[in-house]
Order: sequence, then structure tokens, then C-alpha cells
Amino acid sequence: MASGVSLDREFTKGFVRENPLFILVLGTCPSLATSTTLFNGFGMGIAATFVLVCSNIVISLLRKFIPDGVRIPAFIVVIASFVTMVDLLMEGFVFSLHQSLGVFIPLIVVNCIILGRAEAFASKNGVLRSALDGLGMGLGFMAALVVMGTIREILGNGTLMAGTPYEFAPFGEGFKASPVLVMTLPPGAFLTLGLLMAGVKRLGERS
Amino acid sequence: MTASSNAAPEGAPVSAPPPADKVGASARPTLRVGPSPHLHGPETVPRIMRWVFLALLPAALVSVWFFGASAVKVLTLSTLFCLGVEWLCLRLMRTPGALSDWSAAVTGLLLGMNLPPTAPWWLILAGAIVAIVVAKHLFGGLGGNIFNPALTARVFLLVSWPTYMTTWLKPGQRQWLAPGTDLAGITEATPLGLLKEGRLSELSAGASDLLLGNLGGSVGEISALALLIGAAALLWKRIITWEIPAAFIGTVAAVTGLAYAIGGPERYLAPHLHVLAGGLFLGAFFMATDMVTCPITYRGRLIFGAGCGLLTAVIRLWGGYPEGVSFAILLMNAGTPMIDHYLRPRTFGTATARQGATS
Amino acid sequence: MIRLMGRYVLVLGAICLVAAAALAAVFEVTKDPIAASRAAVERQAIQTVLPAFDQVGTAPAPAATGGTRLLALYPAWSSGQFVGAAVKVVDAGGYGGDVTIMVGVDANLKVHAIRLLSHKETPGLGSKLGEPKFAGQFSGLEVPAAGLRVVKDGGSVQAITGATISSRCAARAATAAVQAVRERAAELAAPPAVEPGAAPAAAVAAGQGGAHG
Repeated sequence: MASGVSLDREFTKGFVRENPLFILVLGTCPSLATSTTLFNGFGMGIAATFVLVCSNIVISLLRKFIPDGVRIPAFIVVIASFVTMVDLLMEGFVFSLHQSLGVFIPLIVVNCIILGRAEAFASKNGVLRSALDGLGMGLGFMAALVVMGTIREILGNGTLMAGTPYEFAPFGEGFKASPVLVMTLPPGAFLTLGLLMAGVKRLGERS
Repeated sequence: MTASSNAAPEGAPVSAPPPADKVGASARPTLRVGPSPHLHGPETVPRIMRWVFLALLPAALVSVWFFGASAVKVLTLSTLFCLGVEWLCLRLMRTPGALSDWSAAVTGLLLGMNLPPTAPWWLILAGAIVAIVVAKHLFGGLGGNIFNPALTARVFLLVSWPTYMTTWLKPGQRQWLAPGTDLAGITEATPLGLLKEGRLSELSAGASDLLLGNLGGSVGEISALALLIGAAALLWKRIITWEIPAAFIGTVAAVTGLAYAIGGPERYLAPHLHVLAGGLFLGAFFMATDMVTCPITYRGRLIFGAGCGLLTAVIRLWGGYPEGVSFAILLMNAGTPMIDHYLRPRTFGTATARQGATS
Repeated sequence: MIRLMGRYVLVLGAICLVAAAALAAVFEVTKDPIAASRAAVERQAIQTVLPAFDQVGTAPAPAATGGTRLLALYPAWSSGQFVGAAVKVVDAGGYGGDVTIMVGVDANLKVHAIRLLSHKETPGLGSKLGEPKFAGQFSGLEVPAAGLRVVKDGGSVQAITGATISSRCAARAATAAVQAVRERAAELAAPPAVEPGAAPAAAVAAGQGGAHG
């Protein structure tokens, strides 16, 4: 299945052409909730990518071993285990990031991208292809979150790289004092996602 | 308050369908369609928009009387900014519309009337950009918007800069306020603000103040009487119909009256003050009735108005913000396509499936 | 059919077993860093609201007063000398519900500093509770017998513009904290007889129950 596709296409398709957020519109809930700053978006992207790559590899390895009738429960157990590991590791080693991402780390379990790739790709393809697919999709998701986080942080918080030692105010302290607050709130998340989806679609139509 | 080509003109004759039980029984209805040219109504978008603009002026003039230079500044800047942004959008995005259709002028005036008199220039500019670019032209320009542009901008500003959007000048402060003026002492809370903060005992404005506009509030919302005069003109010209304002205001009165009757006067505002206070008249007559964003059938408009009223009352009584008119109208704007879908009038000459089965 | 069911059980069981083992391993590895991080966060909140100290303990928090609940009380000592106590207070009277504030009370029963821990107030208005412009004015405040009040209620605390309700929360929390420390000033004066160093971690861990409300 899909063996005619070259390996690098398997890897790069998640960046733009099949971007999980802007094109496939998967995983919108954590994207809207955690893309408040660049750093949060990046952290969520890393966590999701880790889970995606690991679960794709394991599910691809087990694909001949898992009977069809229980494949969904089996996938969920695998995914939930990796998510719990990420949750524990992040709480232990990047505590402040874990605090600001809050409940959305455990909720990676129900992120449609992960189960979607497991069901649609990893359970039908070899280990290498599945790993590349997971990595590409994960990085595409992370890129989308970073773009959203950057826009929302600059406009809604007046800063960039908040949460890291490199924080600065791109539009100056005056703007930072009264930024476009709505952009960090849920309506701003929908607004940003909607505009970016429209933009990506427009680009796709042109090329 | 933008009109669209796909919204039916208000004055157009609507042929009433025959009673359902007669269809297919005895009288066989005939539908006569003559050859073109068809009768052309006098309604055009610029004409409607000019009337709306004129109808808003009494309330605008009242605010100029009470807030002087500040009101003039807010209304002028808002209208000019909206016209400027519209001009840029028309040139750059090539969406339908024209400056001469007055729609941007109406949006600008409405936006100004939805802002506090203390609004700084950059706040007004941000509002104009959101109203014209995001709410109007990104959705396809005149007639394509889902949400009322002026209200979208107001909510965007309210959530982003709550302090600037809730600094209400006392009536009678007519002097020019240079940027950075200390506003302490010349501002006051609105009646709804007092209600939300549990300071109802400090409420001094009575029903007559609310009617005339002798209290703090957004530039265009303070005088219920002036808004009614403008609304009467629009009703007379059949540019708006009575269903939405009546259902909207009636529901607010009913729900707040119920709360007042059960909860008592210490905790709740009397229903007639709820009706006169805040942006209810401005919203019910001039923004909920926007032809593009409200349902097209009579029943649909009643549901739309009642929904606006219920949401407004719920937000005012139990919500996080003191005033809920703008949130309520935007939420019901989002529900308009669904209302229109479920209340689609039966096509003339057809029977519903159930009636067809019994005959 | 039975054989198929048996295979399902076997496969799922095997996967679960492996997953459980892997999780147990990760849990063991991360257990200590997580506890340390949690304790550090609580300890940092205590440190920001109190003068310098080298030993911190925990005392039972008194019962609720009105809508204000005390979650934890951390007395602190420097070289055996009582320097003050940090009190974690939840006030239910916020615009959006509970507001949790850590209030530092110094040995003279004055407010040393306050720090906003969690809230659901309106962004841009009530959320300014944590900003130095508002929170800073509490430093060094003495609490009168009637309690701290905002200017609008006849007190001295400058409320945040447009957020009087949220500002009252902070005033009430500071009042409750100072009163709680005043009530037990005598018993807090001397540090408990445990070797320094062991007390902070234990005390802070004990205070964890209410930390993530």
C-alpha cells in the first residue's frame, strides 16, 4: 500500500500539502487552546510529535500481530501509554511548560491526528514509512502551532518568546501595555486559525 | 446595517400562499407570470443606507449635546476611518460594493455610536479595520457578511481593551479631552455596570434620564427617545419591520421582569429600566434588523428577536459582562442560516409530504 | 469464535502488560523530579511573599471566615527567629469565582507582599490583580480592626479601574491572612524541634493537597 510514494514525499507531505491542522483540520481543540504563545505552541508540537512518532512505530511493528477486531482499543492503549510518559517526563523536567499546557498534555490521547495516522497509515505501512509519516505530520502540526502561537503572542500579549529567557516586545513597551487581548483568548484562536486556513487554501489554489 | 442584493426588499409584494387545506382539493391555484419587464421597486442599497444614516442622527446629536467635543471626535473619526478602510479594501480586494452605497458610512456611524466617548483614536481605527476588513470584506464584501460588522468590531474592542471600552464620561462633560487627560472624577458607571458590581443602591439615573440620555454610556446608546424617533422613521419607510425589535425588547422585559419579581428590587433592576438602559434600543432597532444578518421570514425574525432578548437578559443578569446586547445579536447572527433553513416557506403550489399522503 | 476471542484477550493483555511495565519505569524515573518541582513552585511562592528565611514549617489552617478560606499556613523562621508566615487564601467572591492568593505576613503582623496564584477573573481587568501596580501597594500595610477595604468602601486600597470586585478579593484575603497569623502569633514564634533542612520539603509536600485547585 502506498509503496509507490517516495520516502521523502512521505516525510514532507505533512508540512503543507497534507498539513494536519490547516488542510486535514485534525487536532483543532489542542491547537486552539495551547497556541497562546510561541513557546506553548512549540512545546505542544514537540509533545505531540514524540507521541506520534512513537505510536506510529509501535503500531506499525504490531500491525500483523493485532487482530482487526480489537485494533482501536490496542491503538488507544499504545497512544495513551506514550502520552502518560510524555506527561510525566514534562512534569519532571520542564515543569513550567507543563503547568502552562495544563490538561492539554493528557488530552493528546484524544488528538485526532494521532489515532488518525495510526488507523490510516501506520496500521497499513512499514516501520520506516510510518516513522517518517509520524515525524512529518508531527512537524507539520508543530509548525502550524508555532505560526499560530507567534501571531497570537505578538498581537495578544505584545511579546515574543515569553516563557523563555529570550523574551522581548516586538512592537515596544507601549503596545505591550495594552495589546489586542482578544487574540490570546478563545475568539482570537478561532480568528487566527480561520484566517490561516483561508490563506493556506488560497496559496494552494494559486500553485 | 448593510443591505444585500439577495435579501428581499421590504416593500416587495409577497403573494400569500392559499390555505394549506385547499391545495389540491377543489380550487386549483394558478400562478401567472407575465413577460418581462417586471415591476421594479424603488428600493436601492444607497437609498436604504441613507435612510438608516439619517435615522441614526437624532441619537448622535443627543450625544453631541451631552458629551460635546468627545462625541464629535468619536463619531467623525469612526465614520472617516471606516470610509478610508472601505476604499482601500475595494481597491485591493476587489470585493463587491462602492463607497457611494453608504454602507461603510453607516457601519462607521454605528461603530462610533457603540464606543464610549473617551475612546482614543487608535481604538477607533482598530475597530474600523475589524469591522470593514475582517467582518465585511473577508466574508465577501457588501451582502456577504455573516456577522454585523459594527458589532463584531465592538465586541473585538470590548474583549481586547476592556478598560478603554468601559470608561464612561459623565453627561455634561463637553470639553475637549486631550490624550492623557486624567479622567478620574469626570467618569461614572452605567446603570448596568452598577447592577453587575452589586452597587444598585448608588443608582441615581431614573427612567426620564434614560429616556433623554442624561447618563454615562456609549456615544449612541444614551437616549432611548432619540433612538425611538429614528426607529419610527425606519419603520415608516419599511426599511425595518417590527418583528425583531418587538420580540427582542419584549423578551428582555419579560425575563428581567420575572427575575425582578422573584429576586426583589435589592438585587435586580426593574424591567422598564432594563429596557431603557444600555444598548438595547440601539441594538434592537438598528443592528439586529440588519438585512444581511437576520432571517428573512416573519416567524424566523420573531425567533431571532426572542433569542437575542433571552441571551441579552441572561448575560445581563448572570453573565460576566454588564451588557449583553452585542454578544446576543452576534450569537443569533450565527444562528440565522439555521433559522432560515428550518423555516423555509413552502414553495407555492406544493403540499407538504403529510398532507399529500392524506389526500 | 472462542479462539478468536481468546486471541483478542491475549493480544490486548500483552499490550497492556508491556505498556504498564513501561509506564511504571517512567514513573519511577520521574517521581522525584516531579515532587521536587512541585515543592519548588510552592516554596518559591512562599519566598516571594516573605522576608528571607531559612526554615519553613506548616501549621493547621483555621476555618473559613465568610467566603474566604485559608488553604495552608506556612510559618517561616530565620536563625530560629520568627520572620512571618505565608498564608494561602482562596476568596470565593471574585468576579469569575475563586481567587487564590498567597499572602505574606511579617512578624509585626503587617502584610509583607501578596502574590496571585490562580484566578478566573476577566482578562485585562480582574487579571491585573497580580500586577505590581496593584499588588505592590499591599507591602507594609497594616490591617485595621475593620479589615482592609478598597477606597470605594471607605478603605485605603486603590482598586483596579473597572475591577472593584476583584480588588475586594485581594483586600479580604490579606485581611483574613493577617487575622489568622495574629490569632496564633504565640504558637508560631518558636520553630518546631526538627533539624533544619528536613522541615521545608516535608512541610511543603504536606501543603500540596490544595495546591492545584
